[in-house]
Amino acid sequence: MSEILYESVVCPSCGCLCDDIDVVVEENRVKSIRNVCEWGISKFLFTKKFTPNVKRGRVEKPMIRGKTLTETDYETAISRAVDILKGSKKPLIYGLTNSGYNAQKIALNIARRLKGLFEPRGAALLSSYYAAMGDSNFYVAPLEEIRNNADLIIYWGCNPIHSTPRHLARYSVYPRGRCKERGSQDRAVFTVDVAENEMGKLSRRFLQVERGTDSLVMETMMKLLRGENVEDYKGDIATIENMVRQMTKVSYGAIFFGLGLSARGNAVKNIENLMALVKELNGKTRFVILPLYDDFNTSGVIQLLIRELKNPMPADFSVDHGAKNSKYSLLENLHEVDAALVVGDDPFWSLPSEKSDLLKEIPIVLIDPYWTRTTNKAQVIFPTAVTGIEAEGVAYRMDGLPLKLKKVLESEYPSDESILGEIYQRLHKEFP
Amino acid sequence: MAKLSMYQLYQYLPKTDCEKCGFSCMGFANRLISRDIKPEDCPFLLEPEYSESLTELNRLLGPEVEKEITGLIIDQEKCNGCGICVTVCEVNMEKSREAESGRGPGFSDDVVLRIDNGKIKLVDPHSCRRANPSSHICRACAELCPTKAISLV
Amino acid sequence: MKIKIEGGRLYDPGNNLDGEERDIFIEDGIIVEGFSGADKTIDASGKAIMAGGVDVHSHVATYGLNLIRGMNRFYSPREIGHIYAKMGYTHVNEPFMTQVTANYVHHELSSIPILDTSAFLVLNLRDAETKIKSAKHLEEVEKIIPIIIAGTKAIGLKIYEPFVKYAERKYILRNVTAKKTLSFFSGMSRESIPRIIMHTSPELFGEEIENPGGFHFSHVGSAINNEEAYQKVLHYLNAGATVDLGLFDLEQNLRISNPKQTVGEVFGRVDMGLSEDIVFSKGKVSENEAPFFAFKLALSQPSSHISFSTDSPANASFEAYPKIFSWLMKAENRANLFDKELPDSEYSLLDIARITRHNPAYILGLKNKGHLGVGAEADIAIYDINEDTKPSELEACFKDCAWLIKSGCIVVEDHRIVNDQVEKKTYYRGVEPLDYEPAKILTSYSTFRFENLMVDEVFTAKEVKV
Ligand code: SF4
Ligand code: SF4
Ligand code: SF4
Ligand code: SF4
Repeated sequence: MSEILYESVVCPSCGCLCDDIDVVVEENRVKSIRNVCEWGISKFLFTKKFTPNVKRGRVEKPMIRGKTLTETDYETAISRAVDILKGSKKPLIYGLTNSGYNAQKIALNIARRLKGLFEPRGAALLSSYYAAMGDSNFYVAPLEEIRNNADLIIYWGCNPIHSTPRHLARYSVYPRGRCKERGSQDRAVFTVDVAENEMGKLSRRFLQVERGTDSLVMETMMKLLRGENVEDYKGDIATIENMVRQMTKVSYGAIFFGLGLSARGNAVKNIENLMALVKELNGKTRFVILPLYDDFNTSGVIQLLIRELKNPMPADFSVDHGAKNSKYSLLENLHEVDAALVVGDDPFWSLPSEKSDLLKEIPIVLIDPYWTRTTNKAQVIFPTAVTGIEAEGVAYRMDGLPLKLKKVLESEYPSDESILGEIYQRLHKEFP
Repeated sequence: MAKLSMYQLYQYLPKTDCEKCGFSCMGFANRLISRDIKPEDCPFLLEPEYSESLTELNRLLGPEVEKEITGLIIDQEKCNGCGICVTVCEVNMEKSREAESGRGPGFSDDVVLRIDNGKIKLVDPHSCRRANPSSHICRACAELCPTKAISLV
Repeated sequence: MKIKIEGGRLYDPGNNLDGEERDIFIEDGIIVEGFSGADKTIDASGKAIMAGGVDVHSHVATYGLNLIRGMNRFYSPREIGHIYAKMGYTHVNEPFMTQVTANYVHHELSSIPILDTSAFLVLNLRDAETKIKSAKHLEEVEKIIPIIIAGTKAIGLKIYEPFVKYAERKYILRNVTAKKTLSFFSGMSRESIPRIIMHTSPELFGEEIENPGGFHFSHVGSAINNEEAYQKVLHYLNAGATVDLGLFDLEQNLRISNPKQTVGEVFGRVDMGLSEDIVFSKGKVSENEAPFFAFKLALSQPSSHISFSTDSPANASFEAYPKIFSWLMKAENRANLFDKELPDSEYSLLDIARITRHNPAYILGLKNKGHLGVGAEADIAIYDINEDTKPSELEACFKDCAWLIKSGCIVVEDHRIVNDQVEKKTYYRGVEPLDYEPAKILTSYSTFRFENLMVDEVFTAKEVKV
């Protein structure tokens, strides 16, 4: 029984990609693990998020659905998957925010080859962010510089304690930085969210907004910055005024926004206004803005799209000059889609039902280590190794800096990268 | 809260100074406090007649003892491993260069607090500022924990 | 594959070839003495042959550029590879890689097809502020820098801001003046690091540099906006410094600069941990004299130690190189560029080969690149250029080489890219033995653990240590 210590492993759970995880492995099981948060440890122990004692059910064998779901081998499953994808006029390649960069790249190539649609999970919000840069510019920084310099941190539409637990301690509020030697004593935190939560305790200002009024709050802030009249604003104007006053007084602010801005109201409008606000603030002081990704490699798939297509929007290869898409989400076109390849995501859980109902009608090829709602619907299921624990990979942190994901456990399953590679090869051969 | 003392533990030892453990009984007690050894390292304590003493020693030295030494009560259930306490603890910073600016302490760094298996652990209560009578003022970890997993007695 | 190139005229300052007709033999990716029975023979008669171009300074993978690309304002990696290959280039060096962006830059570079790559490590002097204040730490720094260069797989050290300056008054004691910084780095021994690359700015030329011989001044053209600065560059060159020119094409270009030097439309800003943000903007540099002096310097060829560059994309995008070559080669091509009189000298093909091949390879320490001698990497560009080529045709000829061979594989065949999947290499400067321990002091303000800052093979192409 020999123990192996893997130091400085990267946690493949959220966009923080903490790279200081020390893992002790004994008999191919994680025996103990240091520095990882509760969300991360669930990943390493293959348990439910935040409940490290409840195991997640892993898919054990490739499965295909006839009348019922039956076990099969990879070879058969791949043939079946290739048949489904080949026969499709407009397949959707979806998910991928929990895969390594190379897997994402192969998936994009599959979409290209099949003249299909390629959409990472959560695209609507991200696309709006990148699109808004056109009007409002970008203001980014590696997380180190935010930690070194920021004296005001604003979380808007996200609760880092849940989505990215160590963000506060590693990158934003609490760590000491080059010019913030006393850590949190040198900084203030503002949170804007729809419901009171743990962030209230640590925020100097917690602005509770009505569902769907974020963009209005941003507009009001901009008006205040320009010295315009805000009398018609009905909400908590005193807090907003106070916040704006402090926002202009700080020397370096950082805004992190999250999925909250897309879940409620209009994502596009919210982000446009938020970016416009940041532009306005940059006229007076220094502000940066970054999205807070809760999946560990959302950033990677965006980098990939930009590199390959010069466009961060989801890719539509079905039209001529494919991929010059300007839609924020292609899921609007879901009714045209006649097959789907889903990688590492559970759309029947994460998509609203009017969307997932459409998915029910079409054959789905699923690549995922675990049983999910989507496994109940999929025609073909490939179990895989968990990237970053059982397979190597590359992932991009929320600030766009990549890290190597290590492999600490042996697995009998192939990685999603190799399954996708196999599918791509077969398509390439049979479908030149 | 009184600090756990060597004499308190000595009460429960066989007091024979047989040195089978490599020390005198008092020396043994001293090392128990610093957690260099466990009560079970004294062969006599494993005998049935000492079983009560053993239980008592383990109680004194168990998780409860953290509370007695530091006045910190840790509720692991609530903790989500966010690491804020680890980062803000100044003793951690002194003891680990890694922990200085938000990174987790190195594997072999001796720190006061660390995240072990996704939960907070007070690994070295004796180094906590609160264990040192001359500086009882620190309460950073308890104050800043967002989930109220650390509180003060 | 064995390739023979027949009948071409070779331009290679490293081997004193100025248009001599020689056959070239390629085997296993290397130029060899000769063989019989070639698998492929290329007829290069009536054509000019040079080693593959080496770009010493082109921002193709700078952190932040991807966001510009996402706005469709910059080339994709594929376009970069293809455009360079068609121009006869086989190597590009990224001049702005910081410690934390090293993985990023290498990953970006390795996504560019065809080209070999390398990168300069920009040292943030704040990380070494306590060390560079006094020469007594010189020895320690001399030891650390090669380690950090090796660890980040960089090919050289670049200093972007030769000073430490904090905006906050309370850190005034941490500041280090340019004078101190320059004198510190002037003292560094050539063994530990052969040449320190300086980002040039007008302010830098306001300083005195005691021992300029140890420095390479990048895109000097951007910083010479008066006669005094011009004389200073000449003086530095005399003292053994090297420069790359930083020429201009006087078009609207994407600039990567500090906030003061932005022009035209601004796209965004990135905080790289320097005293000011890096700002991306697009516009034309017109108000100052720098473009004129840049060409004056280039055309008077004051030293054989000048390399071609445009600080791409800032002063001119790399796509404009052929146009600028044609300006350098023929006075009539550049007749209407400036109101003032430029020297009327003209570059020969040999001069072009010197500033685009030989010298850049020398600056980067690439011994097997930039020349056509036996043992060199078989990176070879063949252009449709000879005595009959009209001045007006030069630009097109440089834009569209007839053949390009990269590591012994044919990439461009008869003006068409036939293969962009050739082996790529990442060149970096290594040290022996590599003990990271002393270098850790430079990374105490990183959010990454040291071992994750050191660039892993997954981010690079095939690694080659120089
Ligand atoms: S914050 Fe995210 S990346 Fe860091 S340990 Fe927790 S889950 Fe993993
Ligand atoms: S072995 Fe037990 S009895 Fe003997 S000296 Fe040690 S503590 Fe005392
Ligand atoms: S009370 Fe202070 S010294 Fe003790 S563990 Fe908490 S933060 Fe550290
Ligand atoms: S005790 Fe509190 S601050 Fe410390 S890790 Fe747990 S939740 Fe975070």
